[in-house]
Amino acid sequence: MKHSGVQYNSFFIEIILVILFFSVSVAVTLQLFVAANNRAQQSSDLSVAVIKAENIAEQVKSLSTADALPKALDTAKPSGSGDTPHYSIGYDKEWNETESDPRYVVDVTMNKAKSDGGTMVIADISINRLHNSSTESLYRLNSAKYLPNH
Amino acid sequence: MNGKTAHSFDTVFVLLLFCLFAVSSLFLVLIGANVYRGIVDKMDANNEMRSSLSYVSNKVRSADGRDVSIQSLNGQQTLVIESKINREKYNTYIYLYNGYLMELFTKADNDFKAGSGDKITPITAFTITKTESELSLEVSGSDNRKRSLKLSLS
Amino acid sequence: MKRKGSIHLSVGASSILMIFVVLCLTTFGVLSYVTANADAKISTKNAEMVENYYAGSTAAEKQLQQVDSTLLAAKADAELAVENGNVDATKYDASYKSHDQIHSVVDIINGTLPKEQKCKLVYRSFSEMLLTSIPGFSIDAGTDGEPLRFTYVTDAGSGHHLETKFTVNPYGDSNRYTVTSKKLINDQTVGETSQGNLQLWQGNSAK
Repeated sequence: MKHSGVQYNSFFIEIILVILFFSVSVAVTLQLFVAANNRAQQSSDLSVAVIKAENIAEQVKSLSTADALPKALDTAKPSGSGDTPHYSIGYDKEWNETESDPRYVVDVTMNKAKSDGGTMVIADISINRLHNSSTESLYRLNSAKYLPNH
Repeated sequence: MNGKTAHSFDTVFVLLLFCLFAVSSLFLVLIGANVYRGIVDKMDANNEMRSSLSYVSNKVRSADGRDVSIQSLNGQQTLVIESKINREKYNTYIYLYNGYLMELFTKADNDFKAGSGDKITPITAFTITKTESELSLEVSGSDNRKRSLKLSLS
Repeated sequence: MKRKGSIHLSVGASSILMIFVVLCLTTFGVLSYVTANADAKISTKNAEMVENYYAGSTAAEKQLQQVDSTLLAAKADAELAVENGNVDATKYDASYKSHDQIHSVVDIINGTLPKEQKCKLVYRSFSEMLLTSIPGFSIDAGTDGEPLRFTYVTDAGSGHHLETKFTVNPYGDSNRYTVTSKKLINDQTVGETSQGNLQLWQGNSAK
């Protein structure tokens, strides 16, 4: 009986030690998984942000008049005044347009500078991620269009 | 007698514990594999979408706006970019075939054979529309989420 | 032996199992982290390339603004020169006089053509003189009757340039210039060597 006691005791001790060691290594590996998931999310966010910014920038390139607005900003919330109007579009985490509680925000500032020949419209496009009341800048793009006076 | 039942009870208990341990470690490995697959699938879909859009947009930007057109070949929308090398006319066809984005670069006189193109990236959908000065591309990768890019032709 | 029929669980089986599981999970973790890292790098590179392209496009538009103001000045100068009969009171007379063409311009001014025609020809010469003196602008050879054709490039990052071609419209047109082509060109082009081989790589990599 003493033998078998020792036998089983060693098994229990061993399994306890194994579980201890295992939990430590799983904690480390879990951090690795979480970091990988974060990176993948970041990469996906950046890719979609680049596409959205590109859409707006391309539409700026094909503006026909200085007061025209790129089509993508039709549904945007305007703010700012006069010469530098500012537009915002909010997106939820699936990048669908949403008004409330947006996860991503596309901010576009249209700067119009008049010169003797015409107007230079420069759009400053910036895409931010809202993260528990902190804003992180994902991507920034500048696109310009010169519109001569006739 | 008592010792024997205690003995066998201990054995069963230990065996049960060990089996529990084995099964739970199996589950952990399966969960780990699933998480890995989830991450990699998401990355693949993102990669497909990004590569296809950036590849086509680069091709369109490198070409003159007037040389870009859309033709319906083999029953599907194909982006056709004309170019001239050494005074010979060549066409670049970009289309979706067998789940892949394909590109075919050939002389303008040759017939269009969908199978002889080069595979660029696997995608699930590819739609193009063209207005006067704007080309609109819509692709979706393995996650079937559509992303669209509008390019201005100059 | 007393324990002949008993089930004997050797020490170490659970350790082996644990090692196996930890190995598996670590492999998955490392693999997914490395792939995610590589993907993030590609994403960043793509984003940079797009950013550089639009920086090049913005620079091209700023050049167009410069072209437009130059053409406006050339127009005003042409009218002034035809009015006065000489080039002295124009805004850029120093620049005009540094070109050889000034002699033919003076001839036109002093000639007998109708005022409209004079303005047209003088404007064409002035715009050619002013635009060719802007660094980076090159003129495409063309015949006298055709509108002037110019080309300039702006840097679009990572071995690419944005090439813009435009024509200067005749005097009196509501559009002073027309952009005829805007495209992305690669710095390295594949060209044929004398033996008829294609030189694929000259040893430079994209910055």
